[in-house]
Amino acid sequence: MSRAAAALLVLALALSWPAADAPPDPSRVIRVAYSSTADLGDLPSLLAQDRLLGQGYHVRATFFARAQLAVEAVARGQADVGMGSTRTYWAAVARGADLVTVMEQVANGWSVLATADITSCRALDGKRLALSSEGSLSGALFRSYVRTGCPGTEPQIVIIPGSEHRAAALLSASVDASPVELSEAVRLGVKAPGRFRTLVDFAAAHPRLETTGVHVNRGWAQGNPRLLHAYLRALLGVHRQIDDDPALLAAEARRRLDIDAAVVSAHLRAKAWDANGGLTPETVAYSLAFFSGAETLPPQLTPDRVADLGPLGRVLAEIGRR
Amino acid sequence: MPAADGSGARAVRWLVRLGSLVTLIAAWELLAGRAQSLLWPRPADVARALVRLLALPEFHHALWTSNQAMLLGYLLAAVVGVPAGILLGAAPRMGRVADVYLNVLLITPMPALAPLLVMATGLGLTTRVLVVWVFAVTIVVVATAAGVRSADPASIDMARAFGANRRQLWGSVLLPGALPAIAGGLRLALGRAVSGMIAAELLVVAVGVGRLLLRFQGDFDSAHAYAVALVVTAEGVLLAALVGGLERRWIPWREEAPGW
Repeated sequence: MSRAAAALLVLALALSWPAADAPPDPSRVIRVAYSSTADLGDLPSLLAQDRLLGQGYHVRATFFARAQLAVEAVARGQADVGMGSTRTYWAAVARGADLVTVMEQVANGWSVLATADITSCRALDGKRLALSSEGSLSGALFRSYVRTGCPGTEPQIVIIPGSEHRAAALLSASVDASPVELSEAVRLGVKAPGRFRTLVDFAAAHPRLETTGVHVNRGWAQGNPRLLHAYLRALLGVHRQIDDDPALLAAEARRRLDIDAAVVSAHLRAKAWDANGGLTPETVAYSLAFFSGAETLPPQLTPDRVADLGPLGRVLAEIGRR
Repeated sequence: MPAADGSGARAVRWLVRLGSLVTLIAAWELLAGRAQSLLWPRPADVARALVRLLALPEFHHALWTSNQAMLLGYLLAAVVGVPAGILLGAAPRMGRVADVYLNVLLITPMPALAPLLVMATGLGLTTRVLVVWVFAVTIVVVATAAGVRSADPASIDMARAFGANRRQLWGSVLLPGALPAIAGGLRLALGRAVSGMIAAELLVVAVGVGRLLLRFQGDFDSAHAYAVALVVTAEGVLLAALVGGLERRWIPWREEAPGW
């Protein structure tokens, strides 16, 4: 090969080499921390991510293995927005973290699933009931159910971390009942038709209970009101788009997360994503009272320490309520 | 003055250990104070939590519950692992086949196996014992097989030259030669068994100290969570020291085990 040919080859290679992407403008970056791998509840936020990208924002999503790590990331400013269990974030607030909930993520979709022979709350006496942990949301919901529905009933509590493990325990008849999220309830119904019944639907019993939320570091929210505004607006936009075009969610759930249409339909029927962001002063007060009453949060927490309705209110003022 | 030299060296060793421990705690205090983390408590907070924890009857009950699975799983690993290792060490072809399965046992992530175990053996003690066994047995088998395979050929030849039969060869040369490796395997397996005990309780069914850990972590009570972890670690270290002591007593011809 002649020198000229070699030089031409080097030049061609240099020109065809993909240029490195310019780093995104830090003032347009939003870092989002998820408490586990992506599930259907997270899908609207993933769709919002695409919308924000189209508006020139850059969203960095991190899926943590444990909820506590996601909370820590938001509390320490390593992430700006956190998605996940309200009780977990508020437990961190009780320990001094400066975090606030600014919107509902998914509406309460919990229920207690029991084997078909268990027909009442009282029938749980002596039966094996699986919870994810003692202080968890599912534990709080269950204790409140027994306290109000059948005081004195004492099932054998088995702590099984991980919803898939609790589902396996139900399927193998290692436990008789368990609080489950909507997705798991649908999947169990498909896998074992007729074997389980819904003993109590907590969505109907506690419609004002905030089980999951969009949480932010208060310092970041005060320093970056535009970013937060853009994020909430994009998320609410997706919630409304799902209302208008439910088929979109089914298609995206299948494409991105390989989630069955039955699970999606159940969420749509349950109106899992509120077009107005869900969070209100009433739901915050109700949820705090509920968690304190179930002794999973200390009673000294106040609504203004755990939630800030201002950012959501400003977005709703701009786009209007539905 | 060998005795004086020996005690002097021991004193230096302890001084180094103590110094490194103090340095570690000082660094921890400094960094935890700066980090202001929800998950990283200060040593003083952990110490206070430890005192409170040790006074709790619930904690002692939890420790006993956890250790039932650990002890049973570990003993089962020893009872199965040592003969299996001897067999594999004596039959190299079988050993090569079994290596694949041992590697699978060693590498397979426990979270992937947990639902399978729940489906197969339920949520009782059996499942937790099985998890501990899976964690511990591989090390015992591998160490034992390696010990048998590494028998000194000159000693074997000498025993044969003196007319030793198969039983005498095993009883006088192969097994005594393999004992240090077996003991080392049993010591390492103990650490794996303690890890298995916690893994079973965090992944399969939360009883004992695993249940306490989950509760403290869920409430961001990291001082108590660290205190629990500290007790479990101390237990593992003490048990390993105990096995090391037994090694020295019963296998005096072995080379010095590191650290103890």
